[in-house]
Amino acid sequence: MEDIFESLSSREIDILREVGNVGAGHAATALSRLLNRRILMTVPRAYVIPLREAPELVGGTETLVVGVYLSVTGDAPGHMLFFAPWSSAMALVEMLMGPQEDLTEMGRSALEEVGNILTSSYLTALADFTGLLVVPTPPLIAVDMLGAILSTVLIEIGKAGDHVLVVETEFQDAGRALSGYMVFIPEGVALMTILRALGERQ
Amino acid sequence: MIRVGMAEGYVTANPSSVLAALGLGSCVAVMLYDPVRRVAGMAHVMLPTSPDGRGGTTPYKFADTAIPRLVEEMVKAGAKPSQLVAKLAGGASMFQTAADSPLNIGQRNIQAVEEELKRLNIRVVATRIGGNVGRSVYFYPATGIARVRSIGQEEQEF
Repeated sequence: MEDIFESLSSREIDILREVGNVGAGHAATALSRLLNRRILMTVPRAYVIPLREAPELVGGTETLVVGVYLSVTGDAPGHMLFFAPWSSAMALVEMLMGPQEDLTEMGRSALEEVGNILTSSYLTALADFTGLLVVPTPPLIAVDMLGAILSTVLIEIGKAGDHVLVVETEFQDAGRALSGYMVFIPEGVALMTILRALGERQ
Repeated sequence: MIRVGMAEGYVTANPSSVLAALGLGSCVAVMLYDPVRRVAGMAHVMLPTSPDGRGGTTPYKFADTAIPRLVEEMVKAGAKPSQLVAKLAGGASMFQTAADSPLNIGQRNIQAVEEELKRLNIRVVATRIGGNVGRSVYFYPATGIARVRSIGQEEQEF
Protein backbone atom coordinates (compact mmCIF):
# COMPACT_ATOMS: atom_id res chain seq x y z
CA MET A 1 0.00 0.00 0.00
CA GLU A 2 1.26 3.46 -0.86
CA ASP A 3 2.22 5.54 2.12
CA ILE A 4 0.08 8.66 1.80
CA PHE A 5 2.57 10.63 3.88
CA GLU A 6 5.03 10.44 1.05
CA SER A 7 2.56 12.11 -1.30
CA LEU A 8 1.72 15.05 0.98
CA SER A 9 2.30 18.40 -0.68
CA SER A 10 3.89 21.26 1.25
CA ARG A 11 0.51 23.01 1.11
CA GLU A 12 -1.14 20.05 2.82
CA ILE A 13 1.55 19.96 5.48
CA ASP A 14 0.98 23.72 6.00
CA ILE A 15 -2.71 23.10 6.52
CA LEU A 16 -2.04 20.31 9.01
CA ARG A 17 0.40 22.63 10.80
CA GLU A 18 -2.32 25.28 10.93
CA VAL A 19 -4.65 22.73 12.53
CA GLY A 20 -1.82 22.13 15.00
CA ASN A 21 -1.52 25.88 15.62
CA VAL A 22 -5.18 26.21 16.46
CA GLY A 23 -4.88 23.11 18.64
CA ALA A 24 -1.92 24.71 20.43
CA GLY A 25 -4.06 27.82 20.95
CA HIS A 26 -6.78 25.74 22.61
CA ALA A 27 -4.17 23.92 24.68
CA ALA A 28 -2.58 27.20 25.81
CA THR A 29 -5.98 28.46 26.96
CA ALA A 30 -6.68 25.24 28.85
CA LEU A 31 -3.20 25.20 30.42
CA SER A 32 -3.36 28.87 31.37
CA ARG A 33 -6.62 28.19 33.16
CA LEU A 34 -5.18 25.13 34.92
CA LEU A 35 -2.02 26.99 35.98
CA ASN A 36 -3.75 30.26 36.60
CA ARG A 37 -1.13 32.13 34.62
CA ARG A 38 -0.61 33.03 31.01
CA ILE A 39 1.07 30.30 28.97
CA LEU A 40 1.85 30.91 25.33
CA MET A 41 2.10 28.03 22.92
CA THR A 42 3.25 28.10 19.35
CA VAL A 43 3.82 25.57 16.62
CA PRO A 44 7.07 26.64 14.99
CA ARG A 45 7.28 23.66 12.66
CA ALA A 46 5.41 20.67 11.37
CA TYR A 47 6.94 18.01 9.19
CA VAL A 48 6.63 14.48 7.95
CA ILE A 49 9.49 12.14 8.81
CA PRO A 50 10.08 8.40 8.80
CA LEU A 51 9.17 7.17 12.27
CA ARG A 52 12.62 5.67 12.79
CA GLU A 53 14.16 9.18 12.59
CA ALA A 54 11.96 10.54 15.36
CA PRO A 55 14.50 9.81 18.16
CA GLU A 56 16.90 12.26 16.55
CA LEU A 57 14.47 15.09 17.37
CA VAL A 58 15.52 14.99 21.00
CA GLY A 59 19.08 13.76 20.73
CA GLY A 60 18.78 10.04 20.18
CA THR A 61 17.27 6.69 21.03
CA GLU A 62 18.47 6.68 24.62
CA THR A 63 17.33 10.18 25.54
CA LEU A 64 15.12 10.31 28.62
CA VAL A 65 11.68 11.60 27.77
CA VAL A 66 8.19 11.68 29.10
CA GLY A 67 5.77 10.18 26.62
CA VAL A 68 1.99 10.31 26.67
CA TYR A 69 0.24 7.94 24.32
CA LEU A 70 -3.39 7.63 23.37
CA SER A 71 -5.30 6.17 20.51
CA VAL A 72 -8.01 7.90 18.59
CA THR A 73 -11.25 6.28 17.52
CA GLY A 74 -14.10 7.62 15.43
CA ASP A 75 -14.07 8.83 11.81
CA ALA A 76 -10.30 9.22 11.60
CA PRO A 77 -8.74 6.51 13.75
CA GLY A 78 -5.11 6.77 14.64
CA HIS A 79 -2.63 7.28 17.44
CA MET A 80 -1.04 10.24 19.14
CA LEU A 81 2.16 10.38 21.08
CA PHE A 82 3.21 13.53 22.85
CA PHE A 83 6.75 13.52 24.11
CA ALA A 84 8.92 16.07 25.82
CA PRO A 85 12.55 15.95 26.90
CA TRP A 86 12.94 15.31 30.62
CA SER A 87 13.98 18.91 31.39
CA SER A 88 10.94 20.35 29.64
CA ALA A 89 8.62 17.82 31.24
CA MET A 90 9.96 18.58 34.72
CA ALA A 91 9.63 22.32 34.08
CA LEU A 92 5.99 21.72 33.15
CA VAL A 93 5.44 19.80 36.39
CA GLU A 94 7.09 22.63 38.34
CA MET A 95 4.77 25.15 36.72
CA LEU A 96 1.90 23.07 38.06
CA MET A 97 3.22 22.03 41.44
CA GLY A 98 6.15 24.25 42.37
CA PRO A 99 9.81 23.15 42.65
CA GLN A 100 10.37 19.39 42.43
CA GLU A 101 13.37 17.19 43.05
CA ASP A 102 12.17 14.21 41.09
CA LEU A 103 9.08 12.98 39.32
CA THR A 104 6.63 11.83 42.00
CA GLU A 105 3.38 9.93 41.49
CA MET A 106 1.58 13.27 41.75
CA GLY A 107 3.91 14.81 39.17
CA ARG A 108 3.37 11.84 36.94
CA SER A 109 -0.38 12.20 36.99
CA ALA A 110 -0.04 15.97 36.47
CA LEU A 111 1.98 15.24 33.33
CA GLU A 112 -0.60 12.72 32.24
CA GLU A 113 -3.19 15.44 32.60
CA VAL A 114 -1.09 17.95 30.63
CA GLY A 115 -0.61 15.34 27.92
CA ASN A 116 -4.33 14.75 27.95
CA ILE A 117 -5.07 18.47 27.59
CA LEU A 118 -2.57 18.88 24.77
CA THR A 119 -3.65 15.89 22.75
CA SER A 120 -7.35 16.57 23.17
CA SER A 121 -6.83 20.23 22.20
CA TYR A 122 -5.26 19.11 18.94
CA LEU A 123 -8.06 16.65 18.38
CA THR A 124 -10.70 19.29 19.07
CA ALA A 125 -9.05 21.57 16.53
CA LEU A 126 -8.98 18.72 14.05
CA ALA A 127 -12.67 17.99 14.66
CA ASP A 128 -13.55 21.71 14.27
CA PHE A 129 -11.69 22.00 10.98
CA THR A 130 -12.95 18.79 9.47
CA GLY A 131 -16.33 18.16 11.05
CA LEU A 132 -15.13 14.59 11.72
CA LEU A 133 -15.84 12.76 14.93
CA VAL A 134 -12.63 11.95 16.79
CA VAL A 135 -12.65 10.34 20.22
CA PRO A 136 -9.49 9.90 22.30
CA THR A 137 -8.91 6.97 24.67
CA PRO A 138 -7.50 7.73 28.15
CA PRO A 139 -3.80 8.61 28.01
CA LEU A 140 -0.99 6.29 29.08
CA ILE A 141 2.27 7.69 30.34
CA ALA A 142 5.81 6.35 30.24
CA VAL A 143 9.05 7.91 31.45
CA ASP A 144 11.97 6.25 29.74
CA MET A 145 14.27 6.14 26.72
CA LEU A 146 12.55 7.62 23.71
CA GLY A 147 13.53 4.67 21.55
CA ALA A 148 11.91 2.21 23.95
CA ILE A 149 8.67 4.21 24.07
CA LEU A 150 8.51 4.93 20.33
CA SER A 151 9.28 1.41 19.22
CA THR A 152 6.68 -0.01 21.59
CA VAL A 153 3.98 2.33 20.27
CA LEU A 154 5.03 1.59 16.70
CA ILE A 155 4.76 -2.14 17.25
CA GLU A 156 1.42 -1.98 19.02
CA ILE A 157 -0.09 -0.13 16.13
CA GLY A 158 1.70 -2.35 13.64
CA LYS A 159 -0.26 -1.66 10.54
CA ALA A 160 0.36 2.06 10.34
CA GLY A 161 2.76 3.43 7.75
CA ASP A 162 6.41 4.26 8.20
CA HIS A 163 5.93 8.00 8.19
CA VAL A 164 4.49 10.22 10.86
CA LEU A 165 3.39 13.82 11.14
CA VAL A 166 5.33 15.70 13.79
CA VAL A 167 3.95 18.95 15.17
CA GLU A 168 6.61 20.74 17.17
CA THR A 169 5.23 22.66 20.11
CA GLU A 170 6.83 25.41 22.15
CA PHE A 171 5.56 26.58 25.50
CA GLN A 172 6.54 29.98 26.82
CA ASP A 173 6.17 30.82 30.43
CA ALA A 174 7.82 33.83 32.04
CA GLY A 175 10.73 33.79 29.65
CA ARG A 176 11.27 30.04 29.83
CA ALA A 177 10.79 28.16 26.58
CA LEU A 178 9.94 24.48 26.71
CA SER A 179 9.64 22.13 23.81
CA GLY A 180 7.45 19.16 23.11
CA TYR A 181 6.56 17.06 20.11
CA MET A 182 3.17 15.86 19.06
CA VAL A 183 3.38 12.85 16.79
CA PHE A 184 0.30 11.86 14.87
CA ILE A 185 0.05 8.41 13.29
CA PRO A 186 -3.20 7.94 11.38
CA GLU A 187 -4.43 4.43 10.75
CA GLY A 188 -5.18 3.19 7.24
CA VAL A 189 -7.10 5.76 5.24
CA ALA A 190 -7.61 8.18 8.16
CA LEU A 191 -5.19 10.75 6.79
CA MET A 192 -6.99 10.67 3.43
CA THR A 193 -10.31 11.09 5.26
CA ILE A 194 -8.89 14.14 7.05
CA LEU A 195 -7.51 15.69 3.85
CA ARG A 196 -10.82 15.11 2.09
CA ALA A 197 -12.73 16.70 4.94
CA LEU A 198 -10.36 19.68 4.72
CA GLY A 199 -11.27 19.96 1.04
CA GLU A 200 -7.75 19.11 -0.07
CA ARG A 201 -8.36 15.80 -1.79
CA GLN A 202 -11.07 14.34 -3.93
CA MET B 1 30.05 -0.97 17.69
CA ILE B 2 27.58 -2.66 15.40
CA ARG B 3 24.13 -1.29 16.00
CA VAL B 4 21.48 -3.93 15.40
CA GLY B 5 18.29 -2.02 14.57
CA MET B 6 14.70 -3.21 14.78
CA ALA B 7 14.05 -6.28 12.64
CA GLU B 8 17.77 -6.68 11.97
CA GLY B 9 20.14 -9.49 12.80
CA TYR B 10 23.93 -9.65 12.85
CA VAL B 11 26.52 -12.39 13.30
CA THR B 12 30.21 -11.88 13.98
CA ALA B 13 33.27 -13.81 15.07
CA ASN B 14 35.37 -10.69 15.40
CA PRO B 15 36.51 -10.53 19.04
CA SER B 16 36.97 -6.76 18.99
CA SER B 17 33.46 -5.93 17.84
CA VAL B 18 30.41 -5.19 19.99
CA LEU B 19 26.81 -5.90 19.03
CA ALA B 20 24.32 -3.39 20.40
CA ALA B 21 20.55 -2.97 20.51
CA LEU B 22 19.63 0.47 21.85
CA GLY B 23 16.40 1.59 23.44
CA LEU B 24 14.64 -1.76 23.63
CA GLY B 25 11.05 -1.46 24.78
CA SER B 26 8.77 -4.36 23.98
CA CYS B 27 11.34 -5.67 21.47
CA VAL B 28 13.58 -8.56 22.50
CA ALA B 29 17.29 -8.79 21.74
CA VAL B 30 18.12 -12.48 21.26
CA MET B 31 21.84 -13.10 21.72
CA LEU B 32 23.28 -16.46 20.72
CA TYR B 33 26.83 -17.55 21.45
CA ASP B 34 29.09 -20.45 20.65
CA PRO B 35 31.64 -20.27 23.51
CA VAL B 36 34.09 -22.66 21.84
CA ARG B 37 34.31 -20.97 18.46
CA ARG B 38 33.46 -17.54 19.86
CA VAL B 39 30.81 -16.75 17.32
CA ALA B 40 28.15 -14.29 18.46
CA GLY B 41 24.84 -13.30 16.96
CA MET B 42 22.10 -10.85 17.83
CA ALA B 43 18.55 -10.54 16.51
CA HIS B 44 16.35 -7.54 17.34
CA VAL B 45 12.91 -9.16 17.40
CA MET B 46 9.78 -6.98 17.20
CA LEU B 47 6.86 -9.43 17.06
CA PRO B 48 6.09 -13.01 18.17
CA THR B 49 5.11 -14.72 14.93
CA SER B 50 5.37 -14.03 11.22
CA PRO B 51 2.04 -13.97 9.38
CA ASP B 52 3.11 -16.57 6.79
CA GLY B 53 5.51 -18.53 8.99
CA ARG B 54 8.43 -17.63 6.72
CA GLY B 55 9.16 -14.02 7.63
CA GLY B 56 9.25 -12.76 4.03
CA THR B 57 11.94 -10.12 3.52
CA THR B 58 12.31 -9.43 7.24
CA PRO B 59 12.92 -12.75 8.99
CA TYR B 60 14.56 -11.03 11.97
CA LYS B 61 11.38 -9.13 12.74
CA PHE B 62 9.56 -12.19 14.12
CA ALA B 63 10.61 -14.55 16.91
CA ASP B 64 9.61 -17.70 15.01
CA THR B 65 11.69 -16.85 11.94
CA ALA B 66 14.48 -14.74 13.50
CA ILE B 67 15.96 -17.50 15.62
CA PRO B 68 16.25 -20.21 12.93
CA ARG B 69 17.74 -17.61 10.60
CA LEU B 70 20.22 -16.44 13.22
CA VAL B 71 21.29 -20.04 13.90
CA GLU B 72 21.75 -20.60 10.16
CA GLU B 73 23.97 -17.52 9.83
CA MET B 74 25.97 -18.52 12.89
CA VAL B 75 26.60 -21.98 11.44
CA LYS B 76 27.87 -20.31 8.27
CA ALA B 77 30.25 -18.29 10.47
CA GLY B 78 31.59 -21.51 12.03
CA ALA B 79 29.34 -22.04 15.05
CA LYS B 80 28.06 -25.47 16.05
CA PRO B 81 24.30 -25.58 16.73
CA SER B 82 24.67 -27.95 19.69
CA GLN B 83 27.07 -25.51 21.39
CA LEU B 84 24.81 -22.49 21.24
CA VAL B 85 23.55 -20.76 24.38
CA ALA B 86 21.19 -17.82 24.56
CA LYS B 87 20.87 -14.57 26.50
CA LEU B 88 17.79 -12.40 26.27
CA ALA B 89 17.05 -8.74 27.00
CA GLY B 90 13.98 -6.53 26.54
CA GLY B 91 10.34 -7.51 26.29
CA ALA B 92 9.21 -4.75 28.64
CA SER B 93 5.74 -3.38 29.01
CA MET B 94 6.36 0.35 28.61
CA PHE B 95 2.90 1.50 29.53
CA GLN B 96 0.93 0.37 32.57
CA THR B 97 -2.01 -1.44 31.03
CA ALA B 98 -4.22 -4.43 31.65
CA ALA B 99 -2.54 -7.80 31.17
CA ASP B 100 -4.72 -8.67 28.17
CA SER B 101 -4.07 -5.34 26.43
CA PRO B 102 -2.44 -5.52 23.02
CA LEU B 103 0.06 -3.09 24.54
CA ASN B 104 1.52 -6.05 26.43
CA ILE B 105 3.32 -7.33 23.38
CA GLY B 106 6.62 -7.51 25.28
CA GLN B 107 5.37 -10.49 27.25
CA ARG B 108 4.19 -12.24 24.10
CA ASN B 109 7.54 -11.60 22.44
CA ILE B 110 9.39 -13.20 25.35
CA GLN B 111 7.11 -16.22 25.29
CA ALA B 112 7.54 -16.73 21.55
CA VAL B 113 11.32 -16.38 21.79
CA GLU B 114 11.53 -18.87 24.66
CA GLU B 115 9.35 -21.38 22.81
CA GLU B 116 11.43 -21.16 19.66
CA LEU B 117 14.68 -21.57 21.61
CA LYS B 118 13.24 -24.61 23.38
CA ARG B 119 12.19 -26.10 20.07
CA LEU B 120 15.75 -25.72 18.80
CA ASN B 121 17.24 -27.06 22.06
CA ILE B 122 19.09 -23.85 22.79
CA ARG B 123 19.57 -23.23 26.48
CA VAL B 124 18.81 -19.78 27.90
CA VAL B 125 21.63 -18.96 30.32
CA ALA B 126 20.77 -15.40 31.39
CA THR B 127 18.02 -12.85 30.92
CA ARG B 128 17.14 -9.24 31.67
CA ILE B 129 13.55 -9.27 30.52
CA GLY B 130 10.04 -8.02 31.33
CA GLY B 131 9.23 -5.26 33.80
CA ASN B 132 8.47 -1.79 32.57
CA VAL B 133 11.88 -0.31 31.82
CA GLY B 134 13.55 0.43 28.51
CA ARG B 135 16.95 -1.19 27.98
CA SER B 136 20.06 -0.85 25.88
CA VAL B 137 22.10 -4.03 25.57
CA TYR B 138 25.66 -4.67 24.42
CA PHE B 139 27.01 -8.11 23.53
CA TYR B 140 30.73 -8.94 23.40
CA PRO B 141 31.80 -11.72 21.00
CA ALA B 142 35.18 -12.12 22.70
CA THR B 143 33.62 -13.32 25.97
CA GLY B 144 29.89 -13.87 25.40
CA ILE B 145 29.23 -11.35 28.16
CA ALA B 146 26.32 -8.94 27.80
CA ARG B 147 25.84 -5.59 29.50
CA VAL B 148 22.49 -3.91 29.98
CA ARG B 149 21.71 -0.29 30.71
CA SER B 150 18.45 1.28 31.91
CA ILE B 151 17.66 4.83 32.93
CA GLY B 152 18.26 5.44 36.62
CA GLN B 153 19.98 2.08 37.16
CA GLU B 154 23.58 0.98 37.21
CA GLU B 155 24.87 -0.86 34.19
CA GLN B 156 24.69 -4.63 34.77
CA GLU B 157 26.70 -7.49 33.38
CA PHE B 158 24.92 -10.73 32.67
